[in-house]
Amino acid sequence: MNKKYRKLLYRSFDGNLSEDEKEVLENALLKSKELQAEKEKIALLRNKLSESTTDSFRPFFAERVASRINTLAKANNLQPDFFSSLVTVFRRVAISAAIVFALLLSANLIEGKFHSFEKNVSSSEMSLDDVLATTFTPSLEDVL
Amino acid sequence: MLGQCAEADDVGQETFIRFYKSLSNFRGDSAAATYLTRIAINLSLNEIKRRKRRMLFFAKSTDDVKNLSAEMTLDDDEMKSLVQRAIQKLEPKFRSVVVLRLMEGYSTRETAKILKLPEGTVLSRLARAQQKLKKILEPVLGDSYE
Repeated sequence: MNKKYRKLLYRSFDGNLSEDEKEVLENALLKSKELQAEKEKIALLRNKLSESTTDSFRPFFAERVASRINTLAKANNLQPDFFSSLVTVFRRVAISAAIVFALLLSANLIEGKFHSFEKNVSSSEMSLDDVLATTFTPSLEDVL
Repeated sequence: MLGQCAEADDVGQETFIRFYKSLSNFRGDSAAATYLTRIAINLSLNEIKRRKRRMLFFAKSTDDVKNLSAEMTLDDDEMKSLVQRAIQKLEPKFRSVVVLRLMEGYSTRETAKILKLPEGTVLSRLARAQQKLKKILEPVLGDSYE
């Protein structure tokens, strides 16, 4: 059988022959009984193949898949990503920091009763001018 | 692709698991069914490779398709089983084309897209696969035809 016709025959089943090719194939089919038999066998084969689909899994396939996905989702929840771990850690640090801050503040306030600035300044024998004079008067050596 | 066996069920499950895992990467460029089929085909091809390696150690004869004769009369189930076994005898690259195009009913373009092949390659593989299958099933096809 001519290879060219056989090629055309197989392609004809997928419906992408040009008008000229269709004509060539039709003429060849009229002339060759062998080609006709081949065409019928291919048609039969394709028919048998389309009937032979095994589209069923074992029972409870969907349940098994769902259960595996659930297990996977749970495992993913147990292993949080970097940013969510960061948020969790920050929350803990923030709470402890807030507690420490509150304790320091209250301690400072209690201490403040006995060591207030006003009390210290007023109890000192130095006046404010004395303090400023010693602190802000630069010497000639400092300037140079 | 794999016939009716426990491995086919496992590959089926794994396909959905892989799809679930890669949902964040799924851009929706192709239909979900195409995406799923592509995963299933790739996993099946891997399973076929594994099966081949196993066969090297545990040679199992599947040559019962060779013992066909024109006198045999087959009912539908036997015919299906025979066709399935004939498909198993094809090389994976031919098998995937036959399964998608002729059994699952995808168009040539869809088959090409799933397998990431040019349409011309799909058509030529399809033609060669049909020739091979016709050769294997010749006696039975002749019988049904007559």
